[in-house]
Parts: sequence; structure tokens; C-alpha cells
Amino acid sequence: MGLSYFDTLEQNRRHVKKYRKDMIPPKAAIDRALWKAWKTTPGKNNAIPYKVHVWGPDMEVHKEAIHNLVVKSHRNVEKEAVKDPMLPNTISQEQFDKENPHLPKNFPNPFYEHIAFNPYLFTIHSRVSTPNKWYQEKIKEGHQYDQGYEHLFEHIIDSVSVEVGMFASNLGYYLLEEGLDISYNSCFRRRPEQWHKVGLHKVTTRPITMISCGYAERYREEDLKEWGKFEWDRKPEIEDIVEWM
Amino acid sequence: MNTYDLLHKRHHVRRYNDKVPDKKLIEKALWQAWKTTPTKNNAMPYKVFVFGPEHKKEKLLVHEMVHKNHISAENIAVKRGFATRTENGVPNPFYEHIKLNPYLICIHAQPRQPNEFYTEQIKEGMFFDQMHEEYVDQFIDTSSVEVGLFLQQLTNYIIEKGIDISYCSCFFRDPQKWLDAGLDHTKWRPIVLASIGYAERYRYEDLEHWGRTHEDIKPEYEEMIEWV
Repeated sequence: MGLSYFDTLEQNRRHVKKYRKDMIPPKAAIDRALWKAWKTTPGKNNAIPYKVHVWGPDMEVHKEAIHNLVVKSHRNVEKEAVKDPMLPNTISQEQFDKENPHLPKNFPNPFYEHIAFNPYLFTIHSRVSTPNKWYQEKIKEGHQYDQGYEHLFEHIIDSVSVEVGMFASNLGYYLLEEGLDISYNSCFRRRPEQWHKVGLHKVTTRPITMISCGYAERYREEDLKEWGKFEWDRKPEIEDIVEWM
Repeated sequence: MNTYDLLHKRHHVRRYNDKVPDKKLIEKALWQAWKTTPTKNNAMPYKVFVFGPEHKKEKLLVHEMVHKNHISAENIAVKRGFATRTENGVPNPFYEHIKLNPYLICIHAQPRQPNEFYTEQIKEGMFFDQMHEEYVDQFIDTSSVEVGLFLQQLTNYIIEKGIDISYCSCFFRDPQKWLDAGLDHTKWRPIVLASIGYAERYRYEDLEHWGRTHEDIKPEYEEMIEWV
């Protein structure tokens, strides 16, 4: 008997520092996981107002371009934070590295490398949805179908992102079930024009999240353990997250 | 039953029955979801409020806001020319699960302080956006993706215990409106609602009864997944 849902997630999901280059997961396993995630993820109004781009093993140049966007976003966020007098930031990681060449480098963040080097990368983007027959009828009766309009992407981004998170959770689980590793990233440029500038013209709508997949060679936690900092990096206690009223 | 089969069985609840799931089961599911949900910078920039069976009044207030938001969204759509009419304020019966349920979950945004590891990183120039109140709206997409990860995992832990769960994302985002309605737990913007209990009737049974199940289907796989 296989692992339970809890044990699969608890024992097998860890952020990947580096994927193995000598082992590519079979495309059939990826297709299977994507299909199951599509089939079992619910969506408001059955609209599914997002789409998944799959960047396979032959898309190396494209993935390096996406990684570039991640690094640019990181650099920009820190620069803006230094400029903002309301924030305590006085230096960016890039500048800190320059001023402290004797210390280990923080920039570019080594834990983003999984975005550049992986067998499969999934980027999830907003999508204009066409109502099904049921909702076409409802619209005639006055129902507001906000997922059908590109200009409302930002207006509904929170609810679409919740749905994307649910899809990502299911996809991640089905990939783990196939014996694969996955990692998430949410640091990237949000505007499609910024993707076009680095040659990613296939992307026409707002990105929401990204997930890499492959067989791990090294996990992030191994670095943290080596540095003696593993115990430092903990999530908040459950009492801080869940409050019974 | 494996996870795929279990999730395939999940349906939106039209109405819960009177049986209240054991609080220990809900606590366990919440703990499991907390334990296994990953999060950027280990921040978990959201908070989960649980209203148990005794909180009937609060659930009525939340449902009222859901209904008012629905009316407001339709009125705005007509004003802006995206629609020609509204549903005339007729309450959507599929929101009733928000009013009548044993447990209601409201997940809100929540700024968080960094742990020991990120406190060090901040000293070296890292920007920890989850700790700044003024950035809550700016990174709401990221927080919401994480809330989705949490909610899906909570869903699995709930349904594997034989309990039902349903969601709602139609409500006012402005926390002041929640406070004005008397929902004093509110500090930051709400992200999603979920109800939990044992179903008496599912939404699909209504659609079956009306002979319209085949009309309410999700987009095809090919519309959603594209190999680049």
C-alpha cells in the first residue's frame, strides 16, 4: 500500500535546489498528473479562468529567459524597497554582496535556479473564459460572469489565484505520486510585455504562479542543514494561523 | 480510496444536514493542512478563522454580505455596460451553505513577521514583503495562491474523513464592510470562504432534477493545458 496523502506531502515534498540532468521524467507521467489535476480541481462557475503553459525538456533557452525575469523581479523589488522611506530596507542583496565579497553570495538567489534548470516548468496564467451552456442562460437572467473579460483580470485576481493554488496543490500531489519532485516560485514579472522583451512571445496573459518538476539532485534544506540554519527556517505555529472563534 | 477517486467524489453542497462533525476531526484536518502546506519564506501570510456550530449569528451576517456583494456586482456590471439586466436581487440558493453549516471558515490576509532565518536575510538586503501592512494588496495574488494550496489540502483532509466542504468567493473585499456588519474578527481583507459539514443535498442533484447537469461542465483539458 502506498503512502497516505499526508505522508506523501510531509515526507516527499521539499524545495529543490538542483534537479538531476541525467534523468528526465517520462512525458506520460506529466500528462497523467496534469489530466488528473484538471479533472479534480473545482472552479467557480466552472470557468477555470487560467491556463497552464508546459515548458518541456527541449525549452532550455526559454526557461533561462524565465529565470532572467525572476532575477530581474527580485532585483527590482529590493531596489524599490530601498527607495521607499516607509520601509526599513537600506540596502539590496545585490549591493550587500558587492560590499561583502568575503561572504557567501545571496544574489541571484540560488534557490531560484530550479526555474532555469529543470526537465519541466509549468507557468500558470490568467485566461478569458467562455461560459458554458448553464451560465450562458444565467447571464441572460442577469448573472455577472466576471471571468469572461480580460479587463477584469486584476479585479478578480484574488479569487482566480485561490483557484490556481488549488490546481497547483493537486498537480503537485499527483506529480509527487509519480515519484517526482516539485518546487514553487512566485517571484517574477507580472506583465506579459516584460515576458515578450526576453523573447517569450507565447505568453499573452498575466502570469500567476510557476512550478518546476523533475528528479531532485539536491534540496534547499540540505544547504540549510550544512549552514546549521535548518532550525531557523520554520513556519509560524498553528495557533498563529488558525483561530477558533 | 485513492486521492484522485476521493477528489472526484467532491461536490458543492446545496444543504447540510443537522449532524455536526466532531470538532476533533476538524481540528485534525486543520492541523494536517497547516503542517503540509508550503509557503514562500515560511511566512503563511493569511489567517484562518473558524466559526463553529454556536456562531449562527455571524454566519447569517457573512451570508448577508455574500448576497449584497452579488447584487452589487450585478448592478455595477449593468452600469458599466457588461450586462443588460440583473437577477433582481433573487438570492442565489447555492450560497445557502454559507448561512447554514456546522463550521464556517473565513480566510483573511495577515501580515507576518520573519522567522530567524529571514531576519538574517533582511539584514543582508532581502525584502520580506509579507511583513509590511501596506503591501497586503500588492501581493494579494501570491497570498491567494498560497491560500488555495492550503484550502485544497484542507479539502483532502476533510473529505477523507467522510465530511463535505464547499467554497465561496463572492463577498466584499473591503474589511471595513465586514466590521460595519458586526464581524469584529476582521482586520485584513478576506480571501476565501468555506463551509464544512455533512451534506443533505448537493448542488448537482438540483441540476439533475432540472435535467441540466450536462450544461454545467468545465472547459476541456485542451483549452487549459498547452505544451509550449
